Amino acid sequence: MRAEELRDELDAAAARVPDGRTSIAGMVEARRRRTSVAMWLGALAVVTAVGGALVFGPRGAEPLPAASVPVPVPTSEQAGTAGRLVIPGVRAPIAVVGIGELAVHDPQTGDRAITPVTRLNGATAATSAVAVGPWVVVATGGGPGSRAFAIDSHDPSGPPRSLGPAVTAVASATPGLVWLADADGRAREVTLGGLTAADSVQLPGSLVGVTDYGLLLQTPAGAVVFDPSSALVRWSQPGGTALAARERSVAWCRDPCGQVEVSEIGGVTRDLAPSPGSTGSYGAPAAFSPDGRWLAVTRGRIVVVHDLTASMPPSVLSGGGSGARTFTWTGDWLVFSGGSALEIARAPSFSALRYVDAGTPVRAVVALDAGTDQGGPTVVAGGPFVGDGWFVRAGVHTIDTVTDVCFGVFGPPYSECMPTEGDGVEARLIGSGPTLTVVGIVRDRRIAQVRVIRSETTDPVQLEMADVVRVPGSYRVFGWRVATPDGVAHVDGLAADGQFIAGTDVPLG
Amino acid sequence: MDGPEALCAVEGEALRRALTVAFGDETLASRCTAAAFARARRRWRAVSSLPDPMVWIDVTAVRYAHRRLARLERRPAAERTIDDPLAALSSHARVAVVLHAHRGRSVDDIAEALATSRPEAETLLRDSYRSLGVGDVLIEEDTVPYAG
Repeated sequence: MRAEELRDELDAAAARVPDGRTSIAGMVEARRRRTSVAMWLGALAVVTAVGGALVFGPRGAEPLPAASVPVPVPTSEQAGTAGRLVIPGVRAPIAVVGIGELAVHDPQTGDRAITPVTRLNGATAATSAVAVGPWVVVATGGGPGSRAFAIDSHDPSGPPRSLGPAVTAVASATPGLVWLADADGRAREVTLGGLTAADSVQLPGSLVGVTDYGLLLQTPAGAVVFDPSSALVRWSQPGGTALAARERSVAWCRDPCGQVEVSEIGGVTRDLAPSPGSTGSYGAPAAFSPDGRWLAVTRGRIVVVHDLTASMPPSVLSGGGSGARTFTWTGDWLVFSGGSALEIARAPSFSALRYVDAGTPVRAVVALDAGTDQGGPTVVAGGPFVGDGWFVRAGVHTIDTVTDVCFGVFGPPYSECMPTEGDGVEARLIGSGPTLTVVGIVRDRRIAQVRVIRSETTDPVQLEMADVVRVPGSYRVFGWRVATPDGVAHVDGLAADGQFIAGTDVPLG
Repeated sequence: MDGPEALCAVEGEALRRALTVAFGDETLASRCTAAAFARARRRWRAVSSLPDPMVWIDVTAVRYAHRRLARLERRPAAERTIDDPLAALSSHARVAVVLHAHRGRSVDDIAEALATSRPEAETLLRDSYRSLGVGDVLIEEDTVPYAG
């Protein structure tokens, strides 16, 4: 495009702006009159106040009226979705953790489901939430009594899976796992079943985020990246305030936090452009976008979005509502909250805000993994058990009949499918590296439990009945995470009395 | 120009439309345009002595807009239209390009309006034009100071 063409387009855009309801000259004149009246009233008020003080003496002042509450802005969607959360091109549901309830918004249709969840009654302003597939892991942040639990967003009315004491939940660098930190500063990396993936570790500070090199912590001395496996500090910034982490990057600021800096661990540190017009200190929450290009940071009630690929000033999202901000990224959309409202803005301009009803007073908002494909199989169950972190869905090729069951490690894609007709037990190796998992289907209804025995050990790894997940059609599925890819796994299906019914071998190499 | 009223009658609507393109909010644009002209009227003796009073009014109006947004009193009210030529730009970049390409303001004026440095404003403009695929624009050396 040539500069002249751009000027022509801007001229045309300005010409398309509708005429104002009041002329600018009229508005200026009105402002002049208001200013004059205000000056007279001010002078009168001063005289009255001085006189009143002299006559009546000192009195307690009346509190100032509360700030006006923003009214939801009508959206341009079709009738029926006005005021609802509709995000073009986004399939991942948005979960809103409220006080005593969970709201799940479908950004494709604007539908929302609000379900009472008793365990959320104690949700505080420090509530943190992490999405693991269709599950929402919540830590209510209420001090020593706070616990973490996982809620199945497909069935929030079901009993949440307890994950133990925790005040903070942060997504792990390993898909399907979550880092939890309790009020005493002990942290553990757990599966959705609450099983620890490694020994718990005492942290020297509070948990903020996760990098490829370890956990980003806020300690009394500053921001540090702490390797939980070696207990070594991999990066530190004395006096710094930790804001957010992603892969090798750490966002932080130095007291009084008027400017954000981003450090590559083992690399350079750079100052981000100041945000004109906004004041106050940067602080939590903060989050990098999924692609790492953008960094959203709160500054009081303002959300500032920095472009990490350029030095231009950031976008300043003021938003409405009086509540503390919490936000989540879904693709290139930023969804943030204020009070009981959600607002959305899209990269790169972040200029088009829409204000919709969150359905509940927002304590935390999180974008779930897209668990459903239009026209494809539907997620019907997810772990957890020894190999949990993966999710299972049943492929329904007709309206009534389940013809196969498909598996995916840690969610989509569900590339491995097994037919519902066949031997009593069928198993297959899927995934790779840390996600290498034996998954299988139990077809024989007499089988009550599944046992896995590795060929190189005498100790059986046994999957209890409770760990086997039921899917439609009276079938059950199981999974077992392979720690080391050697030997052969003997998968046995046992009856309730322990009698062997059916089995199969899966080479692990 | 005879006075602030005459200047407003001639230039007010153009500035309001430009701010609407920049911020996507007609109400915000109208209010900030009016506020800038009202301020110019109060300070007319100083403003009228500038080489171009409209530069001062443009910068003041943009500053009012940013201040108003920062005070949480307003937010952009509606999504922009599909044929928005600046849809690919951040909010500050939009303002910079509108001031530069549409209103003909200098880099120094844009820096003042955005409360940033001249190098930052220049980088912002260059990045913005690159994003828009505009390759032949001149970012001139213009050092007329802002008199706010």
